[in-house]
Amino acid sequence: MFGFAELTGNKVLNLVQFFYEIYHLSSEALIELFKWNRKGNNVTFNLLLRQILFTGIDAVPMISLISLLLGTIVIIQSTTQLPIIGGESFVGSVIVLVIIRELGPLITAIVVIGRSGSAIATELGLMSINREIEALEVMGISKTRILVLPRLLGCIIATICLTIYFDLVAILGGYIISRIQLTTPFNLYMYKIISSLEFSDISISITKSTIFGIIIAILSSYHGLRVKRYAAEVPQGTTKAVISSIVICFLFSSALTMMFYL
Amino acid sequence: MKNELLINFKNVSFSFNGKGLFERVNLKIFQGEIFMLVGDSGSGLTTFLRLVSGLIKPLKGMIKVLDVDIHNASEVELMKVRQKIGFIFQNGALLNNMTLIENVALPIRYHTNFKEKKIYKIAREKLRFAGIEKWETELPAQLSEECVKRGGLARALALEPRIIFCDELTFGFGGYHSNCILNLFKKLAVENKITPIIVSQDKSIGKNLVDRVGVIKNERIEII
Repeated sequence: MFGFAELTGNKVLNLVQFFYEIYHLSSEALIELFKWNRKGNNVTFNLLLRQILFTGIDAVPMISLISLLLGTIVIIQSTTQLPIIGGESFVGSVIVLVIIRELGPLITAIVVIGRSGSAIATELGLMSINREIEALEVMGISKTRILVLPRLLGCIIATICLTIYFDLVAILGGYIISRIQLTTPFNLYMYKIISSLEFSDISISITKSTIFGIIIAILSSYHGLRVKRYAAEVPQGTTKAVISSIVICFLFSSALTMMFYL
Repeated sequence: MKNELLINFKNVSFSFNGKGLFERVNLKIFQGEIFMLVGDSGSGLTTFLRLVSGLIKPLKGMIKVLDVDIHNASEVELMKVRQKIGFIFQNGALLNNMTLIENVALPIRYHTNFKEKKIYKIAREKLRFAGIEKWETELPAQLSEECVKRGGLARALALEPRIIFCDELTFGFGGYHSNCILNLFKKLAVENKITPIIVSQDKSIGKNLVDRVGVIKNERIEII
């Protein structure tokens, strides 16, 4: 019984420590963000551009394919199944609900986690082993400013842009492919979407993307920086970064949906 | 000639994983002298450098670098001290996603408001001093170990430091290359007035180079 209590207690303490360290890293990054009069802005800015390129622009082909296919699936299913139960007027609402409110931000986040989250954790882990992070510290260079902040801002900007792009491709591209089977005219299709779309849907979608971008960057940086001495810790850290990011993104997505739509 | 007191260890104690490394160590290093610390593997050579550069904190005692208590200094004070010290890691520790010249330019770019042209001019000068200017556009992974170490030296010199810490200066190099690196350091100390502090397991390198040698023995540092 005491063994079980000790085990539970340790797990709770580890969880508390985990959240404290995440909070500490996030607040350090936030403080660095507002220190724009600090030297080193040009270094941070160049790294930010590189991160946007890698996380955002390089992910466009994959996002295009996934959004096209997902959009096609949702459009075909909703336009063929809903009329059977007399729900033809809900086609636009279903597409807005599924793509813009939920799957757009979430699927984009999963792609960003797989591509960038894992890369960030791996890169920082390797830097830690090679003592590159210690080298930055002894040069008086803030590792949060150079390593975490550009990745944080880059992930946020890229995730928002990719989510908007995902939604557009899914809705427009999915319609084009669906035309193989569907007869709904384009203007009627767009009318149904636009009449179901509210400003809150777009703002909540962008809010979710922003939060997912923060989660991915902070968790991946955290697990990468925790690597200390051994090469085996790098893949372990990367796995933890990916899994924890996916779980927490889903948790936040559910929480935000409940908060805004219940 | 001993001048300004650069490093002052006062009753410093440190242990790692229950194993004592330093016990009430007192040590003073002055400007202008070339100081070397020797010891066996695991005796605390790298730990000494990590203590004196502020990367780890002693359990007891005080360490002053350039008259600043580095473990109780503010972030601003610590950054100012770190701009005046250079550090050469055993494996070079160059950033692998930057070219050689970008690595040397990084501390200049971060700590100064110089224009890009001036930054690159200074970086090239340092690479020329280290004898590796023709590799400036290569990534560290494409360079030999000796080049990477020389790159570490060039980067350590980027901000014209007053002290350079060297971890295993000639580790992994044969006689010819060791002598080349050592001659560079002698030049640094004499011409550039930079105080090198070297830690090494190789006790033989001290003979023609250093002014004072310390040995880590029984958790103390003895001057021989």
